[in-house]
Amino acid sequence: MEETGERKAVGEGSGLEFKLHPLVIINISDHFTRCSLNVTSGGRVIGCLLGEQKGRVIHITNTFEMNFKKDTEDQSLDKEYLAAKKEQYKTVFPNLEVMGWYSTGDKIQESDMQTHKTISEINESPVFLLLDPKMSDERRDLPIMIYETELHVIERFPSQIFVQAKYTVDSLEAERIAVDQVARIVPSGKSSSTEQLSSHMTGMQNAVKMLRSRIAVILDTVKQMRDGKIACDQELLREISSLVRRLPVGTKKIKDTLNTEYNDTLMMAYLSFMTKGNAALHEIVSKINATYDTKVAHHRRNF
Amino acid sequence: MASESGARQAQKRWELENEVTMCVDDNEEGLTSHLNKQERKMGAEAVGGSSSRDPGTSQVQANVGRDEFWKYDNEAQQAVAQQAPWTKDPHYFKTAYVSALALLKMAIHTKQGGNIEVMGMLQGKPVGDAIVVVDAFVLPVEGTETRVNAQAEAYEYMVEYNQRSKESGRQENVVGWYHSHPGYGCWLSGIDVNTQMLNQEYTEPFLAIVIDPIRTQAAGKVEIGAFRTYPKDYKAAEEGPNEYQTIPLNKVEDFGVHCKKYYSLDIQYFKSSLDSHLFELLWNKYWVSTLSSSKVVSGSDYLSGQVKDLVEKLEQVESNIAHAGRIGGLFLVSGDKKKQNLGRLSKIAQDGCKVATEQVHSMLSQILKDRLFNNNKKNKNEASDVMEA
Repeated sequence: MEETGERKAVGEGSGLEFKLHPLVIINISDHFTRCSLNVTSGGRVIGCLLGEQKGRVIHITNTFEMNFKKDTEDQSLDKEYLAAKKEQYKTVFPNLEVMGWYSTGDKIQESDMQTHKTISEINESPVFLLLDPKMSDERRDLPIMIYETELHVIERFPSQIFVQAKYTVDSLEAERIAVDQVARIVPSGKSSSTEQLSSHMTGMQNAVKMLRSRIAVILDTVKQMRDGKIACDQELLREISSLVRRLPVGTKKIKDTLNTEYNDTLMMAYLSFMTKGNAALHEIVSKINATYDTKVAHHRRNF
Repeated sequence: MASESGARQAQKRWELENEVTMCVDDNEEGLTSHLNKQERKMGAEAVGGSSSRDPGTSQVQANVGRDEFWKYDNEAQQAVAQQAPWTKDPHYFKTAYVSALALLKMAIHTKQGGNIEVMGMLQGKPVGDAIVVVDAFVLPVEGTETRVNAQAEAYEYMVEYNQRSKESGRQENVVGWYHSHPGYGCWLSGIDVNTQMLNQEYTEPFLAIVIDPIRTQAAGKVEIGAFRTYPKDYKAAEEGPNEYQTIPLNKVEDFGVHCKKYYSLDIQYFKSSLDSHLFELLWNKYWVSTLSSSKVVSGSDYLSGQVKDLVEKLEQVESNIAHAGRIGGLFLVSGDKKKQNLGRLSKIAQDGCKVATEQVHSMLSQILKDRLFNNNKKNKNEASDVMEA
């Protein structure tokens, strides 16, 4: 439900869809932690966002660090450093382009527009990602904002202002597994089957719990709407109804595939038990053989 | 009723597991105190040894401990480098601490490589008898199907990259390398052993990490191994067999020849307090992909490959046994050969069980989803409830 609030704040914008990958978040977090522990001054870090654009969707998948120029008073970017770094990433990730830049803090600063203009020299319409490193327990959402710029006429002068953009978190399969693993720090190294099973089931359990709580939120909202406690949001209701209508998902085809897979799995389990049984049998037979052979040899010698 | 008690049991287990991680945290605190002693820094503040039972405070202390890994003390590191305690004992390093960032980067990179071996470098520092890997970066090398070797160009890139990293406050040096073994497990091949040996001779401390992206996907956890080689003339003490892992038929020879030339390190992961905070929040958006991904579909290629490999191995053993049986009628077959067959058969059985378990796991989640979304009558009622509203 927080999302409705967000949607209103976004307003216009370029209509692009932003997909943020977890590596970006962790990269910024790493950069910030490192700087706050090693460098005494400032505490604000900046870097470049890398990603791919596919149609109207922008995937932000990687980052690298940037520097402010050391010798000057005002905060201006070290362009030479940026160019060199960009070149380095181009060699290893040829399909990634500069998509914008990131910084840390709880709100936009005045100098940010300056930096933003510098980045505009590389990418025509860069985005600005702001991460709030302050930790608080109340927060339920990621402390991340993504901004685009828009041209507005303020006091008869056209000027650029930052506009908040909506984003979603997306991840590849490999990312998902790694995040799953580090997020809960699964005891590593041991892959005994019980441990695997329990970690697998815990993961599923957590996900289902989350699903339950989300459904509860929806149900609660709808109930409150029915009772007239909150205003009726038609668009929201339409979305909910389309979501609900999708259930049950299974068509006959899907059910059939599931059945086939199920049977295959049973078959595999069966075969592996057979192999195991065979191995055990083989062991016993050879043990018996060994004792029997010595006996026979013994007998022969006696005769 | 049954399901309720099951849920309670699961929760208990989960709590138990949490307790386990807590213990690990305590260990980490121990290490932190060790680190502090070594760097001669604010020893009074970090009371690492005191084992507070209150989980809340212990958590905070552990987090602080993790942040400590990001601190880089140039002087202390140089002092350690000069003492070089690792030259005296070939088994000196016992643990590898890998940051969440490095793990994520490596997992993504090796996955992108697909069936091609890719490699990159690790940045970090030695702390006590552990190597701390803070970050990793990609090298512009693409291995041929089965081997990677850093070329001159890549070397240049590496030096350049490290230089640049230092300019932006990243002072860690290169402490190792990683590469991928797509689909055939985490171990060092002959070429890897040579590369690692060479590097350990000249650029100590050095660590080798191997990741299997394909098995990662199949098992649902990152398949990773950290290794160091022994010096050339060192005879490895006869230890118990390493943790058993499945190795395809065409690689067994390479594995067997070299497996006594290196040892594997214990891997522990760490994250900064900000990281864990962010991960927690990330999970709020993340559960969808845990539910929606289907290993049955995405891992089917790997699965059939595994089964095929098993079949080949079985056929080999079968022909061996049949052969032995025929001759055995006439002469007594030496016990040695029999034992060999026996070992192989039990290994195959083990492999088979592993593959089956993995498949059963992914099937379980599939069935769970089916239950959740497809045949729940109550759900439909709820739906109509919503519709009425």
